[in-house]
Amino acid sequence: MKKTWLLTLFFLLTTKATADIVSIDLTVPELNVDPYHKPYVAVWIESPNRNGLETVAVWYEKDDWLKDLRQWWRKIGRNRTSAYDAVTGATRKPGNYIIRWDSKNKPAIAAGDYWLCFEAAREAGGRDFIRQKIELGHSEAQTFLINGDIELGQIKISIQP
Amino acid sequence: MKRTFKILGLSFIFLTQSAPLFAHGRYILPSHTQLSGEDLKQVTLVASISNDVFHPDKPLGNNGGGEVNSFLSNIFKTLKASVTLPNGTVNNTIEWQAFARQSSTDITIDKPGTYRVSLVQQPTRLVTFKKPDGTPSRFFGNQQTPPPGATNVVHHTTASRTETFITHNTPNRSALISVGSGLELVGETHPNDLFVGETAHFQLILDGKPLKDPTAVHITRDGTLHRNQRNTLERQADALGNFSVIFIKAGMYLLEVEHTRKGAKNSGIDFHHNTLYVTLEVFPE
Repeated sequence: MKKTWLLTLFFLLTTKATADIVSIDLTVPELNVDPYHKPYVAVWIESPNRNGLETVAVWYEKDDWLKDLRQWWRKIGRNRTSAYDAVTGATRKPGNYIIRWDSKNKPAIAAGDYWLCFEAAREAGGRDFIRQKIELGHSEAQTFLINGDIELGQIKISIQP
Repeated sequence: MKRTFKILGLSFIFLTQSAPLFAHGRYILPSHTQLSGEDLKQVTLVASISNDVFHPDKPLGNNGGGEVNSFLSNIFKTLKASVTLPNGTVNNTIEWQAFARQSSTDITIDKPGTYRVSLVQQPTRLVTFKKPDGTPSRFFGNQQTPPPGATNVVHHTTASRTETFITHNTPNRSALISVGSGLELVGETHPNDLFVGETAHFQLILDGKPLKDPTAVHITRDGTLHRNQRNTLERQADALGNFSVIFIKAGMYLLEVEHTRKGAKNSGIDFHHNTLYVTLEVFPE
């Protein structure tokens, strides 16, 4: 009994809460196609062994097509492993968008490595999925620059502890 | 200055309103495109309105046996189902039964030669407009009077031809002859004689005449649902509607063409839209 309590205390002391501000500058690219529909986009956080943890953003119109964000749907959407209602929004036209996410008050997010995942799917179009390894609860700022294939453009990630 | 504004406004309307209005694809997918032997044969076909190539979304065609909503039911009223037999005669008694996600039918193949299976949507009136609150809306069919205060009112006709071809023993060309209405695919290459690595030559026909406006032809292989990019081949038809394509992979393909022309002056129609969807099977070398 005492041992369990000590273990819990040890766990609490070593599991450092994080308070990182993750800023994502995401480009919805201009595509010269006809018909053009604005893409459904999901941004979320996975554990190193690829469990869906937190949804950062979901842009969509009709929930009938949420399944087409295949990875996000499988990892988080269909299980509701994290409530994402607060981070949903309408689909965006081509352009640059800033998404800010704060890891504070996210009990599932202890200091450590994570995957930041991006997925886009467009009606009568294609689909893109890319991910970037990030470290949360790290003492230094990090920046990453990644590129989608077709449906997602350049993505700048900056993490401020 | 004012005039420039007006011209810009008009071209904006043209650009936005000449865009395809029925962007959803359509197809007929036959179980077999080639048959041999002397016995009577049967082929089962499915048809759907869907964005994914050969993955069904909504039915296309109904003989009254299936349950469809009123929007689809209105579209199906303008749809003519037919099979053109190898001797060129047209059988209009083919019946498509609607199911929740696709329509289906069987056809009996009892003659040698090439059959053409068609679902043709006759030119149908359509009016698009903006409601007084600015939201875009449209009326399909007979209802042609936009609500009071509507702006950007544009009158259209839309027509489409969805087809595929089936050959029993030796191919022939009687069923391939243009019927003279809407967009059609003809040309030197027989649509049931497509093999990887060979150049196929086709021609687009509009209302029985070679399509003169340079027009894009889109050709997409089966299975878009299971790949991230559609990998659509685009070909540009020349001023006589001719284009050629070399298929590099065997499979079922959907060929799509969209064409818009301006309506005649004082006809009350601003644009006529025609679309063509042809399912083609390509065999390995």
